[in-house]
Amino acid sequence: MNLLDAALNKQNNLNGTSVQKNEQVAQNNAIHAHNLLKWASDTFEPVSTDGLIKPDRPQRSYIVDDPFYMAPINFLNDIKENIINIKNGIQGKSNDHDLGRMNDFAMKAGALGLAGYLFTRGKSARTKAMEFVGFGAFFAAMALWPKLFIQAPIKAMYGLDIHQRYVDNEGRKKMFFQDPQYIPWNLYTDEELSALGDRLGVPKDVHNRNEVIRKKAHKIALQGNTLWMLTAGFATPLFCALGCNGIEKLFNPPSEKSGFPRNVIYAMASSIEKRRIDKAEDKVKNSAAIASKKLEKYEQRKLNALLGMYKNRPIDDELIEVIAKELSHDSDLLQSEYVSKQIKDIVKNQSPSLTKDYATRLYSYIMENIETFDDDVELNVLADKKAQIEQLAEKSKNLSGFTNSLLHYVDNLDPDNEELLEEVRTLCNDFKAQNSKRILTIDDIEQLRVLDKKLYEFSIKKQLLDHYNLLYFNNAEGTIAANRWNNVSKAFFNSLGLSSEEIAKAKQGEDAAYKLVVEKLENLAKDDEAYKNAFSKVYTAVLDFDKTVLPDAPDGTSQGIKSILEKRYTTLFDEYAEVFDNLGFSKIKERLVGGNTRQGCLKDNVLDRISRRINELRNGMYKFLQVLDFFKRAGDIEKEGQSSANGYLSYRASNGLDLKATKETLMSDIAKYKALLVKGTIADYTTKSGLKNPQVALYDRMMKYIFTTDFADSTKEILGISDNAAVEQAQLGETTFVKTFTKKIQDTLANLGNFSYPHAEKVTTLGVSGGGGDILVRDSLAGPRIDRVVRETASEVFNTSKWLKMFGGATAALIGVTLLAEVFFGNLKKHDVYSKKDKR
Amino acid sequence: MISAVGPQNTKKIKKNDGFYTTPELEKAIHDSHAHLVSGNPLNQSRIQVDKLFNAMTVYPAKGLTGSPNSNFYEFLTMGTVPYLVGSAMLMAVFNLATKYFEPNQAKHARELGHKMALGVIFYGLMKSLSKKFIEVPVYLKTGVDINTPYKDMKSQLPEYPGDKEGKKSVEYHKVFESVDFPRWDLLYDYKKDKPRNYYYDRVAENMGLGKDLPASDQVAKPKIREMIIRTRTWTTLTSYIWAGLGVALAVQDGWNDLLTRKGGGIVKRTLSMIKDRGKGFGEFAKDAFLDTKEAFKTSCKQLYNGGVNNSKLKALAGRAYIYTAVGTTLAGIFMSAFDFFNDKTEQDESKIDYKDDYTVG
Repeated sequence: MNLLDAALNKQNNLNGTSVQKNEQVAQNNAIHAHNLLKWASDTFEPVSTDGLIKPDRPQRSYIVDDPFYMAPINFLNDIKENIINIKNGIQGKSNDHDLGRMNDFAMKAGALGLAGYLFTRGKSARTKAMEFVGFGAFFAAMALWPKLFIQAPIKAMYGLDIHQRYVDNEGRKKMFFQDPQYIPWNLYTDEELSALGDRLGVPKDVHNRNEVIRKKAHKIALQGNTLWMLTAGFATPLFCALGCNGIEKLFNPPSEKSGFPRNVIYAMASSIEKRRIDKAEDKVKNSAAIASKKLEKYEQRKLNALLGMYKNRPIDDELIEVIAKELSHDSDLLQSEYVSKQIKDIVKNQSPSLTKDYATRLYSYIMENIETFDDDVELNVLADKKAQIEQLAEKSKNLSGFTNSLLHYVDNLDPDNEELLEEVRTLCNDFKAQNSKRILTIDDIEQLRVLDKKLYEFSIKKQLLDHYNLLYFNNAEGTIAANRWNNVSKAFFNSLGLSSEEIAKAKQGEDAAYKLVVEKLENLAKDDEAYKNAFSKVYTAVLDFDKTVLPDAPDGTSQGIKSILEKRYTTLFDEYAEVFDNLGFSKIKERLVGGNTRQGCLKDNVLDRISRRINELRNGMYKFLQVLDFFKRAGDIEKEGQSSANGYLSYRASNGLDLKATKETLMSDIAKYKALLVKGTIADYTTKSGLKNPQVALYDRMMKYIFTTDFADSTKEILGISDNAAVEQAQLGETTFVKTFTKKIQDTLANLGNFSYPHAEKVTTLGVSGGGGDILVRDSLAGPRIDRVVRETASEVFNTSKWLKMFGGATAALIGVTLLAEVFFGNLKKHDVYSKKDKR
Repeated sequence: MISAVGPQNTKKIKKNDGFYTTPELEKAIHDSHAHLVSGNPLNQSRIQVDKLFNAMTVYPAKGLTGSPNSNFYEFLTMGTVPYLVGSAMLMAVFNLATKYFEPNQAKHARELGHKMALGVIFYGLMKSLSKKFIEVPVYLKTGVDINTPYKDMKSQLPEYPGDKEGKKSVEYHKVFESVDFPRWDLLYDYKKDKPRNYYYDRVAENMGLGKDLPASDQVAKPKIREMIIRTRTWTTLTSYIWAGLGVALAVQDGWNDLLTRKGGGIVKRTLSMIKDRGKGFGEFAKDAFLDTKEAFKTSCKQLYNGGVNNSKLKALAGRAYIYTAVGTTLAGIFMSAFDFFNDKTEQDESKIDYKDDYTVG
């Protein structure tokens, strides 16, 4: 009998002791057992299993949400992590995830470097900026395509975000569904999974529903990612190209309707343009400091090398040319022929100077070359006379005196020998001629060096000023002239309102363009409001140029760029003309500012070029206005003719026509005028549009009607020309431009006296005075051919719209296919949803 | 009897009683698990072609149908498709619309478009080629080919109930594609007649870790891993710089003559030759090769000297680009092949003095 049994009250009645005694024993045993247990539980601590079973690591992974407003913070975090990544990679401490991320970073960094290089090759501010726009657009397209057309539609259709991210235990952010065979479903609680299943449309009464939900989500995600891989190649370039195309439009000048961002971007582009000009202007103002700094560094290395090489060479034309080429730093500036003239002036040939050295050399020369004596040396009377000849040289005053006294001396030595005398005379002259070709002296070299330095200084200053000039007026992309001209021609083109079929027709050739232009302008002329709209748009663009070029204000407060440039150039040229003159370089001065000769000087050339260029631009712009106005006038005539019985009266009267001239004649006249304006060139003015002698009168009428008649009423409204002098005075600055040009054209183009004309005596001039007979001025006044301008602009517009249609269509097709494919995702087969029941 | 050897080895195996192996049996066993394949350029090209073919046909089909056998390897392999398709698309964007333009404008547009297309081609070429600039010297120094390929046979799950079991698909991986879990096991028994650790012996000797080491694999493995990480870092960084340099070379004016000269640029001539069914191919090929060489030389000079006008800014940019590319590559070669970050810890030092007596108490 053991204690336990006793404690459990088990009785083992073997000896047949009395029940009472057994009960007592049992009770005692129970007490003993109880005490034993109590002792055990008091002595030993309760054992905790906390330290015995390895605990589960706390789950540190979780699903993340990436709201778009965290993007900047994520961006900065990414940069920091990438730097740490690279450091670890170089040391050899990365893991797979870091190496994968490094690839993305390296791709972006490499592309940025490439964009930076291509930036240096950009020809204008706009093309330069577009390099970085392209960089941004490409990576934006790469990121946005899956977000907009894969992730978002699938989320809308099925309620599942296939590009959801999570953070794993090591703190790395990964895509949840990236690896189809290792999806961390443990991050979803049962409730969340069930909610997902509801969204996915998994029936609620399916056995093992969680498994089905997981299968369906896996399938949709797998299909979505595969579709992403297949379409990304097509989508990224298309989106990038379309995006760049759209952003480029923002760089165009804004119309009245456009607000943000077009206005802002155009303002930025204008301010960049302005800053460029300001910088160039600052450089011009500091040109003295810049030139002196450059002059300090200027070592005249090439010139020194030249001079050293040719130091003992007798001066001749070839040498002068070589030196002149080196000295004329900017060949456009002075052209080496003028510098040659100056150098010739410096190294004027002089007679050799009479020195003892000269006498000695003359003596040796004579002794070497004399032929009168035979080998019989004794007969040579001059044999030992060197010292005497040198004495003669010292006594004589000049070279010719010395020659005479030498000849006298020889004569005295050998009186009867005429031959000897002649020979000595000849030899003396030869020797003198040879030594007249002197070599460069130290003074010459010094003067050349000074000339070189001054020319260098002048060329630096002129280059800075030229650069400033070119920013305004050069015939290149990105200059003020180019931008403003584009604005004007685009405004004119847009006012025609061509549809896309008409644009396709217009680009084909000038004939088609001409017909369309005439048709559209006639339509414009019929409607007052539309005409005023169109005219004011073109006029605004023209004024923009004029204001940028800033005509001088009458009271002298502000100055136009023309007078600023003229003043600056004049100052520069005059200053340096004086400098060169003071240094004794008169030929250079003549070249710069002109002198006694009638040859043109550089200053005049430069100033002339500026005004010619400005006129060219203004004339071209004015032509658009003139064409619009003329068509309006013609349209008014036609309207007038339709409304009254005495139609066309004003036209007939103002043109001195026979009042009986028919409507057809008048309108056919006007059609000819339209042709001249729209597709005529300067040749047409010269040849009178091919009109033969009897039609001289027609040409007279043409010139009168086009150029001397007053503007149309609507035009006057916009230009602010009115009968009220006060109103006109207020608008003075703006109308001056138009008025000046009207007058100029009258004086020049319409003045028949300016053109050679076969039957001049039969011509009646228009009675205007003045000239302007310069051929180039006349050329620029005729302006560009409108039909050509329209054809070229139509071509550009057509090209862009064709490209857009092609690739916009491709993008739309791609989006359509993608969205259509997504409709068929996630179809689980029956065996995925319902499993066979086990037969048990 | 060995069963399920997969589609690769369908040759009938001679039956035996199972105690002895035959060479065919050995080979069948070997081929049915992951095994190294030759890493020579021809084989690498074959692997690339195989992967590309699958990436365009088999893997998208599996992915779009939601097959349970579509795994991460297939997803990554499909990642090459956007590169190729995207390159072709980029070239198309610049060139397809040109034929609708007016002749004069079309000429200028074509010039630009062809240059862009050339840039795309150079980008791809230089990106893959420039990795070799670092990997080959590293291989020559250490004996480790970072692109060592192996062929794996993955068992496929049945796609539907009743699907035939035991299908296998072939996957081409690289031994070192993962730096956390490289397939070290495949590098033992590298050569048949050499010791088991031959590969690690050789690498340890090349890396300067010691000769005739008793356990060269233990010593070499961490060092190889670090070297792989360094090489991967440098190749990633430099490949994009070289790719950009390729594009910079393609936009130089030296290519104008080749691409758009009067009488037909290289593209037009190639197409017309193909249309003529290869007539005059020898002549064409020689001309094309010489013209391309000439254009390449001129463009390189222009890139270095700053374009046609020897502009200073462009010359500076071009030279900076070239020097960056060459400099980082050289730095990469040295930093990858040699270990400059060898941090010895205290644990590497032995604390036991062998000369002393120790008693066990």
